Formats: sequence, structure tokens, C-alpha cells
Amino acid sequence: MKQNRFVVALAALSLVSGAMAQKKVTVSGHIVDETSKETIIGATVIEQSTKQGTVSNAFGFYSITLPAGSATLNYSYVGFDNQQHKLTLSRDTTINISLMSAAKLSEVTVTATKKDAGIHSTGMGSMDVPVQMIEHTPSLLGETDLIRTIQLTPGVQQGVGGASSFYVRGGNGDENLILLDGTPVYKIDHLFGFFSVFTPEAIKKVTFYKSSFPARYNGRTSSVVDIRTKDGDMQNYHGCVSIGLLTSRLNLEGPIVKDKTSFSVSARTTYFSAVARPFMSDDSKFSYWFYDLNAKLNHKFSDNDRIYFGLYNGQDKMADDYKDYDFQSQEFDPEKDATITHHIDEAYGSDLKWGNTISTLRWNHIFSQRLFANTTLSYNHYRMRLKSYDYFTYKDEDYYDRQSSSYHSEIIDKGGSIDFDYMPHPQHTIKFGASYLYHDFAPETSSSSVNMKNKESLPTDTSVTSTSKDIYAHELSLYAEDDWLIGDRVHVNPGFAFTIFSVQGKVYKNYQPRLSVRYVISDDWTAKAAYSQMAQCVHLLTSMPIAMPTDLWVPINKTLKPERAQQVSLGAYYTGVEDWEFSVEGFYKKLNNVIEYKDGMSFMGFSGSWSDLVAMGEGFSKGVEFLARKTIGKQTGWLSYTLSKTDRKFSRDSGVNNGERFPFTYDRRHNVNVVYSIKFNEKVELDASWMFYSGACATITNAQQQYIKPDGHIGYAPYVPSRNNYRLPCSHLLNLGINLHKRRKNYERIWNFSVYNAYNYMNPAFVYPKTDDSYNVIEGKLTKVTILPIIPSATLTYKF
Amino acid sequence: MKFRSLYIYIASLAVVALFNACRHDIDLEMDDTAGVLCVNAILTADTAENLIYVSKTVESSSQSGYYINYGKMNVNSTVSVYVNGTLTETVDNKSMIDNVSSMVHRIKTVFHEDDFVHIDVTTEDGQKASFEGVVPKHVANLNIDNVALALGKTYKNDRGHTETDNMFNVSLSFDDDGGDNFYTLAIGERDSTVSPVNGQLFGRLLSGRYYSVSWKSMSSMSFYVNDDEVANKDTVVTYAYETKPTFEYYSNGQPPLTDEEVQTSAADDDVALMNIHNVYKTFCNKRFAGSKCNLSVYSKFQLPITYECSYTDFDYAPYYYCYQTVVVSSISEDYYYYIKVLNTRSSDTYEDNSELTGPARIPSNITGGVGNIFLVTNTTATVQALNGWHPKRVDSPIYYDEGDYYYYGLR
Repeated sequence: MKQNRFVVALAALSLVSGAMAQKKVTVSGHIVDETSKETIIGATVIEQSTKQGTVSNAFGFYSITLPAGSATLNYSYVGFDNQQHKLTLSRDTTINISLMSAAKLSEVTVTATKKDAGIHSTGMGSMDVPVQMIEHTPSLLGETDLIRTIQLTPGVQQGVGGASSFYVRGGNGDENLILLDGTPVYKIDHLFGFFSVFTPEAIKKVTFYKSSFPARYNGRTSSVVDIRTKDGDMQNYHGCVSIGLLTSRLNLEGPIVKDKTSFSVSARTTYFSAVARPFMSDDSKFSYWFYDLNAKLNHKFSDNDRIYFGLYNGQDKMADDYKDYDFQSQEFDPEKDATITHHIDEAYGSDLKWGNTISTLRWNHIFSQRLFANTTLSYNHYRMRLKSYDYFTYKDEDYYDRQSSSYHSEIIDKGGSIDFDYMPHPQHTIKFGASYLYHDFAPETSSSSVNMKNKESLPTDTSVTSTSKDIYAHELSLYAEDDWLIGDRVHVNPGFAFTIFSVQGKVYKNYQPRLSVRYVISDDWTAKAAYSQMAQCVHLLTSMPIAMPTDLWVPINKTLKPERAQQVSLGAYYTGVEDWEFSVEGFYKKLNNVIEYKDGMSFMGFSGSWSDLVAMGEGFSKGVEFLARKTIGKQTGWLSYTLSKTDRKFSRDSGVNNGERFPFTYDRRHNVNVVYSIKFNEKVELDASWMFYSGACATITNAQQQYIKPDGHIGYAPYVPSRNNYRLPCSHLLNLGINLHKRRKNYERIWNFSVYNAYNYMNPAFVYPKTDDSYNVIEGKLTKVTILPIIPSATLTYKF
Repeated sequence: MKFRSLYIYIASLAVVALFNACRHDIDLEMDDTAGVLCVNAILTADTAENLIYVSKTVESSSQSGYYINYGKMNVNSTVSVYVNGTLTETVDNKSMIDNVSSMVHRIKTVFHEDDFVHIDVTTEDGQKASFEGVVPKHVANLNIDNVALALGKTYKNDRGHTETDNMFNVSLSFDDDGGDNFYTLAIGERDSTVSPVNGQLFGRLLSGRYYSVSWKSMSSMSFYVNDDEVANKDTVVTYAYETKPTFEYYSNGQPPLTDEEVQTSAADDDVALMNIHNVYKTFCNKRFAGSKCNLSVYSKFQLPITYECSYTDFDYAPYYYCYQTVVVSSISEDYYYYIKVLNTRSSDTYEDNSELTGPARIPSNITGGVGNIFLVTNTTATVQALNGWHPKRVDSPIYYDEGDYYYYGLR
């Protein structure tokens, strides 16, 4: 009997255990900073025994489904102390985690542990760019910059020295999707590209993708920069003030209602004109000014509902005014048979403004432990306006001539999206969603007026306005992706995006499959592979090697199709050396319908349809990237080397290089980046970066040839063997920076001294044939233009 | 150093550095592109003589102003012409200098449609280049369907400016065989006058006077009548003037003639406002392949005769004829793309020395060198466009007076 009872009890226990072992429970919640209650994006959650894990999403929400029973959850994020929670799980549970900032940690860049290493994520060609990394990039004119930090990563080419344009794995500069809290930003630069519009103080997290693009990102073909701004400290007020040579910044954040509502405001402006004013003549007045303003409101209704309102407004203004009073002009009057002297007042000048306004309203809602949703409404307005005038007044002669003109261009986007995170099963994390964007492109509106009066006639007033038609476009996107864990070693992320772009009566459909696979070979070795298709329906027409406010974003139309890219990547990763990561990634990318200007054409001085100037063709890019990175310790940094080749090929009737293959302008064969940071002690840090690039390409000629015209006459033209036939000299520069900290109870003071281009190497921005004083070409010589020589800077920052 | 002084010092350094976008001279290190053999020709079928130009590329240089070292372009050479595998002639040009920059070979071989042409060029210093191609076919059923006079037509010229002129609207058509065909279109005019005709003389030549009759200001005949036997009698004076067909007409007809294809009139872009104009009037058959091409163009019309006369009572008014000639040239695909490049070079937005873009590449179909040889077959149609009595001076509505001279327009 006792034996039977024992057997029954044992059987019952087995049944219960079996039932419990099969039962799944979900643990979910938000992960926040203990001090500020700022949500943490990308924090890692791993169950110690099963090795199942997840990461917090863009709003700090996580969800992990585990077998019921005992579980040990490890929560970690770079720059924060790890937390471990031992639990007994019997039902779905909400656990909100507050991680303590590890302010005393010596690491200044990514990754606290091997498990947190980006190389262990499924995606490849992606990296997190922490704010600390941005702040430790040596500054230019006192400004550290997100984009300049990204330019230091392998596979990323810089444009001309110091500018914020960047070219990723053979793509053009307009093929980078830059999102500010989920909204694309069209114009990302100030001061001709030497500053980006992103102030480090406003940034919470940046993720950069150059391959293995998650399906939720669409609209560009080369890279994604996903920037999330701070929500605002829910507990305490704090901020910082920075004063530099040319710019100053201010950041304030704090609670409006503790643990409920918070705000964050960041602002930056320049006093460039005031600094330059002593160097200008009295009769000229040049001013340049820009500002950035980031503001965010964050309200928590409950654990399940949260609302955010974000606003970015930035503007550049450049103006110049000249006056030339009472200058004299002499003219022979045949009626009087004498030379008469005119006394003339002249005033002329121009006023150029450009800027972005972006506002977003987002609502997070947690439907259940496994289903999270974010709904976003967005408004995005980019505008540019140029005005110029020229006024002549002939004093004492009752005659004047006043001419003025203006040019205006803008883009307005209005849209909404809904994104779901669904974790139905331990092995699956599914994201899906939809978005709609309404584009209103107003490429060009120009007007001019002439107001004249002379002694023989009454005043005349003539005005002409020319408006190109607005172009309206509708963009609809649907996507789904799954982060799928197969056993302990294989992690697959399949995804699919479907987009529709409707413009000028034409509907373009784009099917974009994505696939990433990670295979854990051993504790130290990982292999990854990825395939992605991307499509792009807007393009940036540029006129200069540097960013210009007159650069024009234009949509595809009836004749210009969406650009498409297919990319295959393979990589191997090794973390067998303590504190170090090593990786090698190879890629091959094919672009279709990529745009280039036709031979000899540019945006400058053109009128009429822009599509008359460009042609569509193919692009090919392949390369291999090596990276060695130390992420922990007092000394950190990385060394990267990229070997790549990028070509373009257009059809014969395109007007581009007669249909023959030619190198892409930014086909730089070799690229080396060295980044180094050392924290000597609590007070002194040194940062250094060195970049080397092979020369870019240009079309240069040093010979003339005959050619025959259809009327039989002979003409003479430069002999050009091929487009982009000339390699510019290579570029390299060293940037140094030192931070001097002084910490007090209520504030911290930081002096930053930086030198851009420390050994003053004259890197070529562009070259052109050298001419003499009469503008005749001089044989065998080029003129090399360097925009940024050695530039020292100093910045004083107070954090409180 | 006080903080303020330090700040000003550092600020000055920064501003000086920022404003000083530096320019330096560097040597142009690239493969030598001078001395490459260059051959150019447009060989027209069914003509007794064609020209082949042979030269070399030379360094760009500057001596007392921008100029090309023409002398260095000269090169003595021998040209051999083969048609359908048979050598038809060999020409050297040691004594045939047509201009200072190239040697010209005069080719007497007559080419016909479908001929396979091979040309070898060999220079004295051993350089060799060659070309091969097939002579295109004539166009079938070329017809001028209509020539309408468009007086006072308002149009936009290539610069987008509005102009008014008297124009002929020439409508033409031809058949296409559906292959990869490429064309150019040229327009010419021939005018003649006969006076008097059948006693309908508006005026008589009077003795003791000088008369000067100009033909579109290109040529004039002056004569003095002092013979009583000639004066006061009917006198037949015939002028004839013919312009070589040119591309200098306006292609903004129906449909507009662009270099991509013959576009529909519903084209979004105003042809006149396009930056790259179809200066050399080339087009392909994409839109009408295998069917009939119908298009129209506008050419300026000017009264055949302008009078310069010192006598106000002179009413000399002949009878005139005006013919329009269209020449549709069948060209090769190479030539078509070449002309598109020349159209680009002709646009206002293009310049060879652009610092932003560099020069445009000129295509080449020469093996072993650069330049181009194009085979062209012309098909011509002529139609009488206008005839009638030239209006009398005092009847002409378009009449203006400049001192002693009187000019007449068309009624």
C-alpha cells in the first residue's frame, strides 16, 4: 500500500512537473535608468540556464517567454551595472527594471561583456554608437559630431574632408536613411556640411546599419542611422552648457510631474558672424547663423500607456549686404558733347535660409505581456529660400533701378505608422507594422521684380513668377520580420517589406526580402550571413562636393524608376582575446537605377526639368572590412581597414561615359581608420583618430582632340579617355582631443581642447585644371582645393 | 594671459583657418594622352567625293592666350578604303593640307547602301587605326506632305525667349522598317525669281538709273540702265538661290523632335525650356518602329528679295518660287549617340573646363585610335512651298524706311 501511494505520489509529481515544465510564462516590463528613469534601448535580457534572451525595444520594453519554474534573468547594458533576478515563474509577470549607471566604469565605448558584444547579435554590418563614443571623437571647431563618428567605421567613406556626407559600401551620399525618432531627416547639415544637425546632448541612442537591414527600415539603399532622442529625466533636473569658439549648446531636462511627465530641451546656436566681423570691411556685412532646437515631452499614463511629443526645429541663415554710396560713373553725352558724371548709390546683397522642422507624436500601448504597439504621427518640413537684390539710385537725376529675385523650394511630409512587437514564443520575436507617408515636393518657385524709373518715363513695375508644379506622392509600407532562435547556435532573422510609391499617376511596387543568419561556432567564434533588398524613391541632386542649401531632394517620376539595391554579406567574428573583438566582413552590392549626372552636366546654372540632367544605370560594389576593437579598459579604440571597389555602368543612350564601365567618384580603394582613447585618470582623457583614404576620382584631361560636326566642320574638344579617369591624391588626417574634468558636488566642468588635422595635411576636396591670370589652362598642372587645414578649438562645458 | 585675450587669440586662429580654403598646385600625373591617332569623317553614300581628316591629339597648352598647338596635330598618313572586301583606293595626303590642324584625304570611292566599308589609316611613324561599318539604307517613301505658311508665328527659341517670325511649317512622313534605325533631319530652301512673266510686270526698268537687287542679303546684282533699247521693255531677270540643308530650323513642331525619340505633343517638358536641345536634329524610331513616321518642323521663311533702291517710284516686283527640301539621313547607332553628346556640348549649362564636372567624353568608333567615321545615307524630297508675285513696294504691309533704302516684306 505504501508502495502504491509512493508510486501514485511519484506519478502525480511527475505529471505536475511535466505540466509545469511545458507551461510557458512571459516576463515583460520596461528597463530604465535608475537615476533619470530614461528608458534604455537595446538592453539585454538573458535567462541564465536556457540562454534564451531578448533586448529591449526602442521604447525600453522587453518581453521574454520562458518555461514556468525557476529562472535567473540577467539584465545588462553598456555603461550600467548588471542586475540579476532569481524568479519562480508560474504565470505571466511584469518586472520593471532600473539599471544603475556605472559612472565609475572606465570603458568609454561599446560593450561590457562578451555576451553583449554586437558580434553576437544576429544582424551584421550594424553597430551601436553610444553617446560616449560621439563625445570622444575629436571635435571640429569645438563640435563633436555623430556623423563624423560614423565616418570612422569600416565600410564608410567620408566625402570631402570634414563634411557630414558619407558613402557606405559604394553607395551615394543620398542613400543613407537618417531617422530622428523614426522620422526621416532630409537636410542633416549646417555650414556646408561641417556640422550635422544632431546635438550629442539630445541623443539617447544611435544604431547604424550598413547591411542586414531589418525589414522595418525602408526608403534608402545604403545605410540606416536610427537616432533616438532622450525622453527627459523623470526624477531630477539637470543639464549642461557648452561654450565653444563658434557655437554654444544648452541642454535641460527634468520632471514636470515626477515619475509621470518629463521634458528634455536641447539648443545650439552659433555666433560665427560676431567672430568674423572684425575681419570684414566696413561697407560689407556678412552674417551666418544657425540654430538647432530639440524638445521632447514624455507622459506616462500608466504602465501600459505612454505618450511622447517631439519637436526638432533648425535653421541656417546666411546673408550679405553691400553698400557702395556715392560712387561715380562717367559717361559721354553726345547731345551735350561732354562727359557727365553720375553719382550713384548702390546696394546689393542676398539672403539665404534653409532648415527643417520635424514633429512627432507617439503613443506606446502594451496590449499584453507579449504584444507591444507604437503608433506615430509625424510632420516633416524642409524649406529653402534665397532672396537677392540690387538697387541703383542715380542721385539728383530722378532715376532708379531696383531689381530683386527670390527662389524657394520645400518638402512637406505628413504621415503615420503603427509598429508591433509580438513575442508569442520563446524562439520568436516578431515585429510587423505599416506606415503611410504623404509627400508634397515643391522643387522650385522663383520670382523676380524690376522697379524702374527714368527721367523720360513714369515708374515701371514688372514682376514675373515662375512656379514648377508641386509633386505629390504617396508612400505606403508594410513589413514583417521574425527574430528566430533555432537551437543554441543558429539565429535567423527573416523579414519582408512591401512598399508602394505613387507619383504622377505612376505606381511603383517594391518587394524587399531580408534575411540574416548567425551561427555560433564556439564561445569565441561566430559566423554571419545576410541578404537584403532595398528600394529608394527620392534622390538628392547636389551641385558641389560640399553640402549646399541649394541641393535638391526630388522624387522619382514617370521616367525615373526607384533605385534598388541587393546586398550579400558574409562575416566571421572572434572574441577569444580578452577585451578584444576581431571581425572580417565581405560584401557584394548591386545597385539598379542608380542616378548620375550625364557627362559634363551639373545642377549649377540649369533651368527646366532636373530629370533632363541625370541618367539611370547600374552600380557594383564589393569589398572586405577588417576590424580589431578593444572595448574595455582604460585604453579603448579600434583599427579598421577596408578594401573595396565600386563601379558604375550606364547604357549607351544615357549620356554617361558612352555606356562603358567607370569608377564611382568615391571609389577609394583603401581606407584605414585608427581610433584611440585613453583615460589617464578621473581628470584627464585623451582621444585621437587617424584616417587614411585612397584618392577619389575626377574627370581630368590634359589633351585636345579633333572631332567632326554633323555639318562637316571640324571642332576641338578635350580628349577624355574615360569618365573619372583621374585619381586624386590620397587623404589622411590626424585629429587630437583632450578632456580635462573637474568634478564638484553639484556640477562637472570639462575643458576640451581639440586639433582637427593636427599635422595640417592639405587633403584635396576637389581639383581642377590650373589656369593663369587670363583663365587659360596651364599644361600639366592642377589646382588642389583644401577646405579644412589645421583647426584648433576649445570648448568649455558645465554639466549640472 | 587672461581668458578674454586667450579667447580672442584662439578665435582668430580658428577664423583665419576657416576662411583660408587653401589652394595648392600639384602636378598632373596621368598617362600621356597626347599623340593618339585621331580619324574623323562623315562618308555620305552616293556622293562623288568624301573627306577623311587625320590628326593626332595634342597637349592642352597656353601660349599667349588659350590655343591648341595645331601644328602638332598634323600627321602624314595613308588611307586605304575597302568596300565589300575589295580595296577601292589608297590615298596619301602628303600634299593635301586642308587646314593647319589636320591632313585631309579626298576619297573618290562612291558608297552605296548596304556596302560593308573597311578603312585603314597608317601614319608615317607607324601608328595604325581602322574602322568598319555598313552603309545604312535609304529611307522609304519620304514625302513632304504639306508646307504651310505660318506668318507671324510666335514661338520660344532655344533660350526660352519668345520670338515672332514668318515660318514654314513643313510636314513630312516616311516609312520605317522596324529595325534599330536612327536618323537626322535637315531642311533646305531654294528660291528663284523670274521677271517679268507674261506681261505682268509691275514696273519697268527705266533708263538712267542704277538698280541693285539683293537676294537675302547674300548676293546682289547691280546694274545701270542706260540703253534705250533695254529700257522700257520687258526684261527677264532670273535669280536662283539655294541653301544647303541645315539643322538650323525649329523642331518644336508636332510632335516635338527631341533626341530621345519623336515625342508626343503631350510631353510634359517644354522642348524650348530643356537644357539640352536637339541642335543636330537626331532621333530614333522607338515610337514609330515598323510604321510611318509623321512629324513637322518649322523653318524660317524670308522674302526672296530685298530691294535696295534709291528711287521711290520703282515698283519692280518679280514672280518668285520657293522650294523646301528635306533631307532625312539614315545614320548608324554610333552616330546617333555621338550626336547626343554634341547636343550636350552645345547646351548653355555645359563647359569643357567646368571645375565641378570635368569635360564630357566624346565617343569613338575608331579601333587603335580616337575619333569617328560615320556612314550616312541621305534621302531627299523637295516640294514647292510657295509661289506668287512679289508684292509691290507700296503694297507691302511690312515695310520700313531707313534713309534712302526701302525694304519689303511679304504680304
